[in-house]
Amino acid sequence: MMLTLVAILASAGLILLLGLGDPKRRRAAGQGEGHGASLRRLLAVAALLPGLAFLLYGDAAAFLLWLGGTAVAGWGISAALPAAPTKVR
Amino acid sequence: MIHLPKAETKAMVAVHGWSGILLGLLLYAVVLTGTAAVFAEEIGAWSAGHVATQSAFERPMADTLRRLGDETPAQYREAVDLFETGDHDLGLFFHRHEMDGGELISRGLFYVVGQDGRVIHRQAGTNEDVYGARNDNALSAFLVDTHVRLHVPNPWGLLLTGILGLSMLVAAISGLLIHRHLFKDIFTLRRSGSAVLANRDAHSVAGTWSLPFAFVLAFTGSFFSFFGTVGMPVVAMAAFGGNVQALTEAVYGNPGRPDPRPATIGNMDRINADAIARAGAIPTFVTIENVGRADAKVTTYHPPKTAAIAPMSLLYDGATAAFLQEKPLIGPKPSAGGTLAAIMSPLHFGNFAGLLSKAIWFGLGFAMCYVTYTGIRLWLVRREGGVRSFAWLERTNMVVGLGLPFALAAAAAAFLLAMPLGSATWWTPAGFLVGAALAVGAGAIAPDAARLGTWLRGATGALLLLLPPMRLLTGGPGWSTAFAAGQSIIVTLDVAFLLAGGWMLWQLRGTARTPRPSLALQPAE
Repeated sequence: MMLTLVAILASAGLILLLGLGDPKRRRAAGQGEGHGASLRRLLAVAALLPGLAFLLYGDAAAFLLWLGGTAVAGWGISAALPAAPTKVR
Repeated sequence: MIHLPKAETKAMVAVHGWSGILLGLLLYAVVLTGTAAVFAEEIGAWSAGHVATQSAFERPMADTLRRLGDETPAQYREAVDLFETGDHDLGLFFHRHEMDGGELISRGLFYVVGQDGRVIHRQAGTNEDVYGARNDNALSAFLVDTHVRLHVPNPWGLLLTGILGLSMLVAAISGLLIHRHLFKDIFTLRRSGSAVLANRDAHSVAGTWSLPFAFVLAFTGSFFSFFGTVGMPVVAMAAFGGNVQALTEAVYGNPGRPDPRPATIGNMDRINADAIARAGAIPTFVTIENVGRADAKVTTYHPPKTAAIAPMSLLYDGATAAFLQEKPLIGPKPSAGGTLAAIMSPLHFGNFAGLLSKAIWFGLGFAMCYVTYTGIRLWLVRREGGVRSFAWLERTNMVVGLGLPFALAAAAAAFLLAMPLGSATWWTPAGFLVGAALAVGAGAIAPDAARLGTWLRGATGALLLLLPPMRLLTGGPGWSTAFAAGQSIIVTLDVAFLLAGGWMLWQLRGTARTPRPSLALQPAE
């Protein structure tokens, strides 16, 4: 259980990095350019590695927990990251 | 991502929008109550103040089982179900199977044995009476029943929720097909831009993160709804001449040569101890077939073992108490179909890894609610300023979206007040209806959507804050008692309600400082 929690936190940390450097979000928020494509791919693959490890190890419960936990964390991170500057309609 | 031609994308957008608009509010009700029902067991312990720590299956029960078996008329000794009820009391339902209006039911005698081994309740009835709401579980039973069938009588309620599950599946698939930049937009939430952009981002970001689980929850939910209402009767008609009982015995029963010779039931305490040691967990349910016969069989059902998601079942010889085999859910031997059927329940309920899996499934359910609610708002803001006014739908969306949590909190408050008086089974749904009526009334008199949202959020936040003190004032166990009994879930839920209520009221403070114009009730500039 503890290992699964650590895996979720590790993937969430990498998703946070992905979000912080996300080009489209940064452009929309007026924060300039974000990470390059290769760094983003590297971070994305690294974020998926714990899930892949659980799959290869045959731990279905840990894989599902990781997938669900990472999805919830990803949504939370997206909601918490700085939003776009206020526009006057 | 998937790039459809323009005309097909347009058609998919229409399918996505209309499937959400036509059934979205009902779907929201099912998903929200399902999200809360993930913690039904914990809410049951919290609301009824359960503090017993020893399971009924860890206490001696063999003598009681034999004695009650002897007392029970032979016609009801076809089978007996053993399960925990109330505060770790033991429920024993001696019954026979019979058909009632085309439906397979169980009828017999139900006993509840208290922690001191004495029979504290005796009742004749059917499975609906035995497994229905009681005074001490009325709140959790209400949540589950709302989620499963929206309180519509069977089979129509199950068919309705099954159709809602299919509509969620349609929305998930069409959403995947119409979203051209699924991953590019996954972090982009433009909250302060145009109303369309803000709602579109909120809807698509939450939808993208929870997409795999939208498929899983919608599919498994539909499976459960249609399994008994459509699947079983159709298969029974095709292969068993319409005999549902024969189908049930073939699929779930234990094949073997009948041996009706009388035989005393084996030592149930030995079976319980062995089952707990083998499964590493206390049984959630135990069934004994052919009670008092030489061919009696005992099946114990357990939560999944570590690293597994399928629940575990063990089969014992009922007369000798000898272990026979690990039993698949379907048929006598392991099969792909049996495994698939077995994982439906943990995939839907998220109950395969204790509180962690339940907490994650709660978060995913909350995301689904958010996706449904923002989807309807998006559909509405896109039509702002059009020829037809959808102000009534925006108001309805808000009454349901924000009024339903308020009505559920009102049901919880009614339960806490009524349970000590023994009338919780009546007052819990009544409390919900009163809360729902207040929300509808607020929707009718609110001058605008923003004010309506503020009222409903404020009322829900205040009610959530009141639930823990109400629980304590109506005789619920205090935090020290709960901790001492190892029931930290009572304290956890108290804190969760206080935090949720506080957060809702805190949000209103922010809204009051920076007022936002209504998105739908005022025409776009």
